[in-house]
This record gives sequence, structure tokens and C-alpha cells, in this order.
Amino acid sequence: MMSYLSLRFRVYQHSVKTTVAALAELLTFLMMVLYLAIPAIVFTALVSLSIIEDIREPVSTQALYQGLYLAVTYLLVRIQKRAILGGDSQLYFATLPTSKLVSSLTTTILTAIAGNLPLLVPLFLLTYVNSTEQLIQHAHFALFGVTTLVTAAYCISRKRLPVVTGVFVLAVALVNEISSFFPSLVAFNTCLLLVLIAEYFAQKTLEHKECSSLKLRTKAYWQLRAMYMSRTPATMIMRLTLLCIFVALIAFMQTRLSQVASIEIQLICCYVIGLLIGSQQFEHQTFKQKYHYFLALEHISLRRCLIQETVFTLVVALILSYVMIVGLDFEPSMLFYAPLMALTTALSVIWINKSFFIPSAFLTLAFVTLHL
Amino acid sequence: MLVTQNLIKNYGAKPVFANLNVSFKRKHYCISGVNGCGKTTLLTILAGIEPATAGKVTLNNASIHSAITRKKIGISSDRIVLPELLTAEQLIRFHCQQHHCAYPTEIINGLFFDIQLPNLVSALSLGSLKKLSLILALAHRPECLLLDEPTTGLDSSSREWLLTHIANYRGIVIVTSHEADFTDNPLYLQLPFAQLQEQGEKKEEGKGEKVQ
Repeated sequence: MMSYLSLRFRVYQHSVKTTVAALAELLTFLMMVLYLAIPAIVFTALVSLSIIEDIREPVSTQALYQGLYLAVTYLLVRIQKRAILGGDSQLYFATLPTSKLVSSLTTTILTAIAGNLPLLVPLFLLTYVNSTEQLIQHAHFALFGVTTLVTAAYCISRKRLPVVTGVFVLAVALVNEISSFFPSLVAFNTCLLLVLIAEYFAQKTLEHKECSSLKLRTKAYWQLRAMYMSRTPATMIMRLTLLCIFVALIAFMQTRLSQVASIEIQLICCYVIGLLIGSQQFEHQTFKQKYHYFLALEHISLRRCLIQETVFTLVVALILSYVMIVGLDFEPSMLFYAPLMALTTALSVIWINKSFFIPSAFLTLAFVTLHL
Repeated sequence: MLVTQNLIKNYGAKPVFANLNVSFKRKHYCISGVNGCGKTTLLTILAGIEPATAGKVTLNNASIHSAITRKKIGISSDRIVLPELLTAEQLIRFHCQQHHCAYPTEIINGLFFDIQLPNLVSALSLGSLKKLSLILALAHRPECLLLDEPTTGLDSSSREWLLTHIANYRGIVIVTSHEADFTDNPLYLQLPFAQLQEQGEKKEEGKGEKVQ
């Protein structure tokens, strides 16, 4: 006989598989190309934890690393939120006579599974603290562990992003005057936890007063697409997470090596970024296939759809290349290369589907040879 | 007795209904109204699976949100998406286990659903999905049965069986439908949704009465 927990777990697995399937082509490719980078990502996370644990690190550095760590945890849980809560069958589970305790406990277990290492490792590390003195010494890390848990709880039970907490962490990380305001790491971590908890409760009140998004009048394909993406954001968030991890990895390597990546490396980075952004076209194609008749009825031509999708791809690639030029000191020519790679990938998805990564690979090879 | 007290539901700034005070004392009710007026929303709120903006719903003076009361409610609605990864039989067995009730062979036979039992929920046709949803609502013989457009998509034999079954049902039956089987049936107390909304508005102005 199947229990409530096992059915919720099966629904969770099924929903996650469905989400991942939407990114299958891209993930298979990334696993192939970034085979060596994946252990590096895990290594980066462990390194960031060692920095977070280190009481000698200044508050601003701590804020940066803790902020990034919490953002990764939030994104990891957010991607799987729908699956954790019962996927499409949330209302069905609500009809069952399960006690509040059992359903909350099930949600907690599934959140722990979904949050995985980022959520559980800080708590696991705390088990090594075996005296009160050690606990007092590492109080900031204990607070950070609790903050990680509250972040996951916030993600599961609130709809909006924790913007106030995000702004607070950014301000402490980037403005010296603000970071110097905190006399110790414990003070910073206590404040961070309190801000997050306050936002948790404040959001509950705000959600009751939420305005209806139905007031938006949809006139164009892009509006329809944007609404669809906002309702089913999992794949978009996953893509965003991969982009963030990739950019963070470049930043980390540049900081550790104390030098800016060479133009050839920058071109390869543009290639990967182009793949991540351009492969969004797979979702556009699925959407158009699913609503083929509806789009035809509304007289929205596929050509018009393609133009709007291309503009979207180019804008995202331009923004990201600008961020890399400003933040990572990349060459200004990246403003040309990254959008070009993204565009090539997007068009390759339409024309050659599963081999979408080949044309931009040749293009990258040609540009690298040109620079050599 | 199912009772709503000052029930309010808004979608953003748009009110669906306000200050709804209804006591469902009789056996059979039919709520009718134009498409999209909020009938299904009302039903899901009565079942305790969708939150109301304000107010409360009780069954025999107990909140419908408690696990014990929830066992006394059965709901069938197309809005409730069933887990697609199970077969119909697996889902029914799971449901019976949760509600501690016997396997509903009689209902399955009555709705001619036995042939569909080995099929995955994702592979069922709309009519079969409706039957499965009805089986789940009826299986545990709830005290209060909430059925959203119950006959839509059913074949004539299943429809006939269902109508007889719910006509003889021992408990409160609240149906939302536009079909003559319910709207022109003297067995059912007719509750036009617009009338419920009006009653709420009057209450706001201080001259409303409780609908019973």
C-alpha cells in the first residue's frame, strides 16, 4: 500500500523529471562539455562554506559569500517548489484527510531532499561543534545555518522574492560604510536572520493585498509568452541558476588567479553563455507547437513570433555581456560575440534541433583561430 | 449541516462574492449561474481546498480544515488535477487507504469504469477522468458531497446510474450545473449564484437575510 509520503515523493520525482526534460538537450550537452567543471562547481560551494565559516573574514566578504550561498539555496528550492508542494495535483492532496502535521512534515522532508547539499551541509558541519565554547566561537555559522533553513521555508511558503533581504545583503557587501556598522559577524548574521524573518511575516500581509495580474491586457505574442513563463518559471530559473553559477565560476577563477581571462577564454565563455541563452528557443518551440492552432486563430504568424523571440534572446545576451564587461573586465567586443553566439544557437535549435551546439562551436573556433 | 459565515472571496481587487451566509440543511442543492461567475470557486472553498479571503465554513460546527471534517467531505471538480503517474486503480486504492474506506466496487461498476482501471490517469479521456473524479468523491461515502458539473462528458448509462445514486444519497449533495436533470428537478433546491451574491451585498447594506 502506498503511503501519503510515498505518493507525494513520487509526484515530486515525476514533476522534477518533467522540468528537467524541458532542459534535457542543454543539460546533456553541458554534462558533456563541462564534465570537468562540475566537480569545480561543487568545489566552489565547499570553498565558499570554508570562507563563511572563517571568523577572520571581514563582514563585507562574508555578506557577499553568504548572499551568494543563500541565493543558490533559494533558487535550488524555488525550481522545485511546485514539485515539492504536489505538482499539478496540489488541490487533490488538499482534499485528503491528512493532518496538518503530516502534510507539513512531508513538505519539510521533500524540501530537505530538494535543497540537498546547500541546505543540509551547514547543519551537518555544526554537528562537529562539541562544546559550548566552540558554539559561541562559531555562533555566526550557527546563525547562518538557521538563515539557510529560513530561506528554504520562505521560498516554499511565500510567492515573492525576498527583495528586502537581498538589498540588505548587497548593501553590506558593496558599501564599506554599511559593513563597518556591524561590530562582529554575529551582529551581521543576527541582523540578516531578523530581516529575513521580518520579511517572511510582512510578505504574508502583502500577499493578501496582492493586485490581480488579470488586469494586464495581452495584445502581443511576447506578452503571452512572458505570462506563460511567469506562471511556469522552473526552467527559466534553472537556466538563470546555471548562468549565475557559470559567471560566478569565472569570477572565482579570475580572483584566485589574479588575472583577467584571455580573449580566447572569453570567447569560449561567450560560447557557453550563448548556448545557455539561445537554447531557450527549445521552450519557445514547445510553446508554439502546443498552442499552434490558438496562435493561428489569433492571426499571430510564426515569423512575428520568431522576431520577438530573437529580440528577447539578443537583449538578454547584451545585458549579460555588459555585466561581464563591467564586472569581470571582459573585452568590449563581447557585446558583439555573446549576442551572436546566442542568436546562432537559437537559430540552430530551429533548423537542426538536437545538434544545436555545433554551428556556434565552429564559429567560436573560427574566432579563436582569428585571434591566435 | 454545512454553514458559511460572512464568507468573502476576492481575486485581487475583483470580488467573487461578499458576506455569504448560507446554511445547507436540506439534502439536495443545485447552484447555477453564468460561466465564470464563481460556482466552482465556491465549491472548492466549501470543501476547504481553496482559501477564502475572509469568513469561515463549518460542517456540524467543526471547521472544514480539520482532518476529521475533511473525511466527511467529498468533492469532484475538473479543477482538481489528479496525479497522472498512477494507474486509475492505484489512485483509487490510495484514496481508500487515506480515507479508511472499502474499495468502491459498486460505484466503479455503476459508472462502467472497470475497463479503465489498469490505465494511467494521464491516458484517460475527459469522460473517464470525470468518472474517476466522481469515484474518488463518492468512495468514502462523505456526509457532504460537492459535485461540479457531475454529468458533463458522461455516457448515458453512467449518467443514469449517477443521477439515481445521488438522488438516493444519504447526506448533503451540492451540485453546480446548468443541466435540466438538476435545474428542473424538484428534488434540488435551486440556488442561483446571482441570488447568493445579492444576498451578500444586501447584508453589507444591513438588510440581508440568511439563506437556508
